[in-house]
Amino acid sequence: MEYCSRCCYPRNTKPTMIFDEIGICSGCKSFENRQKQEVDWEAKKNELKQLLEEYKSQARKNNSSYDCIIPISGGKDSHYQAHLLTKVFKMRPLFVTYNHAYNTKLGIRNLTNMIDKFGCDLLRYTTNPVTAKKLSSYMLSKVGDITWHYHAGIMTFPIQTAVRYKIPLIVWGEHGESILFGRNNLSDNVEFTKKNRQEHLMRGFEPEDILDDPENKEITRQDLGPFFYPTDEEIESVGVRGIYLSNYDPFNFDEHTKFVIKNYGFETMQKREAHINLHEKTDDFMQDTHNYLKYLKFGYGRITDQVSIHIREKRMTREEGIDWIRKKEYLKRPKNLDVFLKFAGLTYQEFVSKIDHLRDQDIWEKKSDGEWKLLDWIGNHKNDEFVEKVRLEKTDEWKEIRSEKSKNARDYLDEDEIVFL
Amino acid sequence: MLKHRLIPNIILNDGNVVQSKNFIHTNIIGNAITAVDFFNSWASDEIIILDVSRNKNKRKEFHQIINNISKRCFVPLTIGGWISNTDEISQFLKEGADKVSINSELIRNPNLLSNAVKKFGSQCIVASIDVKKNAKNEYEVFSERGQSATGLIPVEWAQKLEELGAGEIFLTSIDHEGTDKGYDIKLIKNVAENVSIPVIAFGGVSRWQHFVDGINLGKADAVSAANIFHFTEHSVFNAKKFLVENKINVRIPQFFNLPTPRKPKYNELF
Amino acid sequence: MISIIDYKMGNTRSVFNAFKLLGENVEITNEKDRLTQAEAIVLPGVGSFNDGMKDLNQNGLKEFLTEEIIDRKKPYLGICLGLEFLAKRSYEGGICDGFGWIDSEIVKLQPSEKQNKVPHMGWNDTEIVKEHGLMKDFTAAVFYYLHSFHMKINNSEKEVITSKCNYGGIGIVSSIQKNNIYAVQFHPEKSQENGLKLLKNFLEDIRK
Repeated sequence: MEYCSRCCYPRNTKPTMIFDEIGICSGCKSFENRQKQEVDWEAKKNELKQLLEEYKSQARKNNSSYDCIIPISGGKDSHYQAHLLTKVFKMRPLFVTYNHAYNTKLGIRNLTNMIDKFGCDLLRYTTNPVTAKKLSSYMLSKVGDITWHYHAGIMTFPIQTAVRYKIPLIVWGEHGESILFGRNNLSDNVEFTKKNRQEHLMRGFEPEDILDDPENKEITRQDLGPFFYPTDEEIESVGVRGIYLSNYDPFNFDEHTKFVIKNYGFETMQKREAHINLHEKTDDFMQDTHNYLKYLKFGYGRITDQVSIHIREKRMTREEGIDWIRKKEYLKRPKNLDVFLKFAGLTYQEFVSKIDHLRDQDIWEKKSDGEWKLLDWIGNHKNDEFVEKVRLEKTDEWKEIRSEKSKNARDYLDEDEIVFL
Repeated sequence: MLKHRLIPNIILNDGNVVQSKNFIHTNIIGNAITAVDFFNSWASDEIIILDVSRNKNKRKEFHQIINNISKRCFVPLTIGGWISNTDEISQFLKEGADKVSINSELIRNPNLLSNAVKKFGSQCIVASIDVKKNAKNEYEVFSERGQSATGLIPVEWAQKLEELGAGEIFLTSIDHEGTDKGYDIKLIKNVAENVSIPVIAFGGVSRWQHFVDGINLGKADAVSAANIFHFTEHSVFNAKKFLVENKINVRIPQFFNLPTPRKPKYNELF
Repeated sequence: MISIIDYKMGNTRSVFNAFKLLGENVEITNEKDRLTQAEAIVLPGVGSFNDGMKDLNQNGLKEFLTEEIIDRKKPYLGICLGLEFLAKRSYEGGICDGFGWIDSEIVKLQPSEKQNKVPHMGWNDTEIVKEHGLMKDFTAAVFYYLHSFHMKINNSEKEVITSKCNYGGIGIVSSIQKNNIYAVQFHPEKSQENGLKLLKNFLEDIRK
């Protein structure tokens, strides 16, 4: 397996990674582009301002209650997006969120905090836990992803809302696939498309495909309500358009987090496994199971994502990143996997065997006794050919970002931390 | 009246759709079948699929992809990339291609063109020409996807290809590709005004206005682009709308409803 | 079963895919016993008239089709070459005989204006002459054309023309219908929505 000469991403990173001749990944390249001196963030901010003003005046003309929609989860990015739009650009947004049913109580506190601090209305679609279980089980077998409905929901329900309520502008936060994997560059000014959502975030599955699948015995049309995308004609008639704030704002994750903790009381986790960032994905109880699946399929996990960002942002060296991966990424099984297993009615063996056919054979090998063996890991590539050449000098030291513990905080492994509503 | 055509070009490297800038493949966009599905529903007039892989082991995969795509593509499909003999042309046509695009091989072996035309007809064969400005700042034809200088002058080469029976010319400016400069109008116009077969312009589109310029100023019969169509919702449809607003004679944009069930499967990448 | 004739000039796969999409039972074959059983016979084709006729002659398909279509009145849909074959003869590269089912000849496209290039390739407006059969219910009849020759029909049979296309001063015969014989010069299997509609019209008309 090849690994990026600068960060820790492997070549088989999904969804789209490409390495250049000296082994730098497209994610690092895209990131580099964003940091360049030539990027005129002031101009971009003005561009955004103009765009928002246009939509605002149109909304006021139409007597619409809202200037735009912000899809949120209640996390650090959601807080930052809301801050930008309401406080800096003075828009009147409607918050829209999709409830995937595996919430942490911490996540609910953060979501509540958002509504409270920003004084905006929230439209929340809740998928009931029975349906959530059906969807997670089906997608576990198909693509090894129990969180398909999270993406399907948050990537469809806000668009349905835009059409229903005739609010054309949807303001998304970061275009993750550009920032992390370099699918697009800043200059492409990418916008939200059904195409990207379907292919990359919904793993190619539209709800129609689930209904057409003869192997699907349980999921009905009623389970799939929030996932049916509006028709092209509907999109066009309302003029629905989804822009990404990360095309107009530097979007430095750690800076945002510190900012929203200080100014808006965002709450992080206090401790967790298989993550070094306490401030990400705080709303998702099944996050550890999800990351474990990533590891079982592709041989790398969330730590790789996180340290790669820190390396690119010059707070960590590649060696330090590799050390964190060694320490925390290759755990045997996450402690709260049992909650999912109980919920889905599976044994550990059944769970693992369901994704047997999805293991990437470039990194996993099945031994004669049926056990899977990792063929490589980044620790074997500490001194690859171009590592020294492309090394970035640290300008900061990485430190864990943790907010004060709220009086309601529970241990994240506590089964009572999960709440469906 | 015969309409001008708007043609998305899907560039595949090792089976993945890639972004291309001055013929360097910079980012992976996704899979070809999804791209074709969406471009079809956004009312493309034709679709071109180009295989730029240097990895010959992936060639079989490419044929497979074409086989699958042709089942869902109800506009003319042109396939290109390293085509070097009439057997492979025959194979692509059987797999559902309507036209094939040939480039480097024609420089090595111009007889391939006349043979192919005799066997399959002019209307099946698109001659593709890649042009770069050389050290003397003159336009020169390059082959092997931009790697080898040929010493040929674009307009003369285009005329020769017309003589040998090519049905259309696909003209690329390597210097403009993937940039925001728009088409190389001078180059396009020079060729388009000196051949009597259709010319398709390619390379440099970053705004819909560039398509208008390609037709009005560059005198191209058809306009093509690759990267830009992957960036925004209803991209091809909106480009068409812009052309209509600028009084260009094109097929009126209308959404085409994609059939379901969707076969082949789209999630194979994951 | 809709049977598409399998011969060397066919872009048979595209036509097959189109009928399949419409939910039809369709096959590609040149076996006479299969063709006799077909509900309708479709003959597509791109390329040289002479090569195509040669192949059909060699397989005995010319006589077979004349019997099936003219005598037994089986529905026929010809696409591009499949329309051109209906003529008495073609002047492409020397004179070659066609089926002779329509009193017409195939001649080279020679548009009067320079900007009208040959082959006639691309999407073009099609003027509907008879609004029934294939040409029912079209608001904007734009189809994809790809040909260098066209059909000149003698006055005696001009009423078979159901649509035309004006190209550089020439009124190209775009579609004809003579009883159970339907044919189009353009490519419905490549004309997206409009093309699929035309094929649906064909099926509806023969099943009336």
